[in-house]
Amino acid sequence: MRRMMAKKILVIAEHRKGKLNAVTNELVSFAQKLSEQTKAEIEGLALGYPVKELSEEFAKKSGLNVIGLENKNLVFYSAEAYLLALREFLAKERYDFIIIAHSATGWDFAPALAMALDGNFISGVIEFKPEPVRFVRRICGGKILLEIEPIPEKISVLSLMPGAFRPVEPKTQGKVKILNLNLPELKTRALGYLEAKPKSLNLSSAEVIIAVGRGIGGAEKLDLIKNLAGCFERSAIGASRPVVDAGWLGLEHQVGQTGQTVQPRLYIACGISGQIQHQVGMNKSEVIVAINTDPKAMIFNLAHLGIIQDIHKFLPILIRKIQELKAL
Amino acid sequence: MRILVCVKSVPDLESNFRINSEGNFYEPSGLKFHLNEYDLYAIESAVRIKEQFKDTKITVISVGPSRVEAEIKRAMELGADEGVRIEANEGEMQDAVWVAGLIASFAKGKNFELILCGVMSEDLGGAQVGPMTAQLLKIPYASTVIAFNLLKERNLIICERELEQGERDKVEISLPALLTIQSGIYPLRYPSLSNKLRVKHLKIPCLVIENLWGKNRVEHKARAYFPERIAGCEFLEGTAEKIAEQLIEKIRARLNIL
Repeated sequence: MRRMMAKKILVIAEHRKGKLNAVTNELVSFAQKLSEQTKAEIEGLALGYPVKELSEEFAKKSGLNVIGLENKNLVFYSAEAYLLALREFLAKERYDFIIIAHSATGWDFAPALAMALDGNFISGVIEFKPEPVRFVRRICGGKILLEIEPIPEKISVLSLMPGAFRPVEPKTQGKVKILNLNLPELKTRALGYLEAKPKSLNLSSAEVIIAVGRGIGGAEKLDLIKNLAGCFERSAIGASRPVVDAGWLGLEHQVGQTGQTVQPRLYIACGISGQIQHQVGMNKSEVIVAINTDPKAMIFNLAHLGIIQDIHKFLPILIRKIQELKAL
Repeated sequence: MRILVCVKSVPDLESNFRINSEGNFYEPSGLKFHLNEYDLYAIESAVRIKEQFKDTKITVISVGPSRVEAEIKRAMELGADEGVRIEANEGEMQDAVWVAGLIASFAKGKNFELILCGVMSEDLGGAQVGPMTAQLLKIPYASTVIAFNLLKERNLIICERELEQGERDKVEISLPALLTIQSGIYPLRYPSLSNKLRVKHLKIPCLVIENLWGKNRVEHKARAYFPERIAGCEFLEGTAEKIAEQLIEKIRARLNIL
């Protein structure tokens, strides 16, 4: 029976403080690609309280018809409230694909939603391939791609890697419908959103960023990075998450999804493997230089200049050469 | 208080990966494995709770073939009181739905007040097993937890979840609950010598359990392959001296800095 009916795609908006997050438009763009192949109809969904303004913004920015789910437990985000609301809504509506951002909010509720619906769940999707419908994700730090064919009879819940799809400009404006839900008592109390602490170091004003990864091996070896940064004017030191987690550098240095997003003229990645979470914070840099001993490190997939060298041996030589040049 | 910590054995990402003979995953043989880094923070979180509430017992669980015993032992060196392995083959241990089903089958009825997982695995990065396990056990959960405050007498835990760009949100959930722990929540510590000695000759029990949420695994058709090297990267070659000279020249030419 399922196959006889037109397919339907549901895009769930990600939002914060009453405003849509940019990733929502990427989800819509992906849904449109999927819809071209599957002839599916797309609808948008926003959950919140109040939800009207947000749903209108979504309908305007996406061109989709948007359903707003409203309940007092949705003032702030919680996985439990989202799951209860979505299950209530999906008990009456049939979709083939549900599209969610692979963000700290999306990966919080999406896997449990897929489980509750007994659906396919594919996490961190970066690409879609038609006939038969397949979704591609990265594994092993991006060294391997995995193409997965969902079981077609089941609903597919997909979480999409932010930055993988270009956002769209809508031609029309969609309509909005608000549904008030009744939810049972929750075991979760959402206490709200906490702003990021003010940055003690603003990396975005640096022209050159020397970024350091786990490959540096320890805090005592950071002088190398500091010396290289000292070779450039308007430079700053960036770091990948493992360096910050290890306490070698403070959080203010972190570049990536959970740190700062930077766009310097020159980004020199020293001993950074280039996980996707790091990439989204620096992939718009004008010139990216990667120095790593592992020739298959993912960082080389987005670097403009690649150097397969041990930073401990190579950086002292590079620093000496720059200093010699400046002394001329 | 009873805590269950779920850990995974993952390959070093620096490894030279090969594709398996079925062409649907990486070939595990010949790789070096270690305890998933995110799970180290889950273990450390459990140990911190035990330091606060002395009557805490920490059980560590891993799903996989006999090789994952090494990771269970590592978790015990770091402070877990007991370890158990749930039998599964290499394919099964990479299937989040199946693994969540086995963990939930094990945990059901055992009165764990807290289940802790790492936020994701280093090799797959799916961030699925935790929320899926909670869903099966019908307990509340919070993922990507970067700070928590356990209010044991009120049977509550208040969690701060890490969002993007240093932002957080905050939830209060009632116990029993499941948390997935973000890296960096606490500084990691080395195992004590006494723990190392205690674990050294220990035999880790292996359970073959029935998955209460399905007899057979639903296997998706998949194809694993290497990404094409993007031609955009120009590799500089030669001696380190020569490479440094080329790099300086190129930076000067492209950016007019230096």
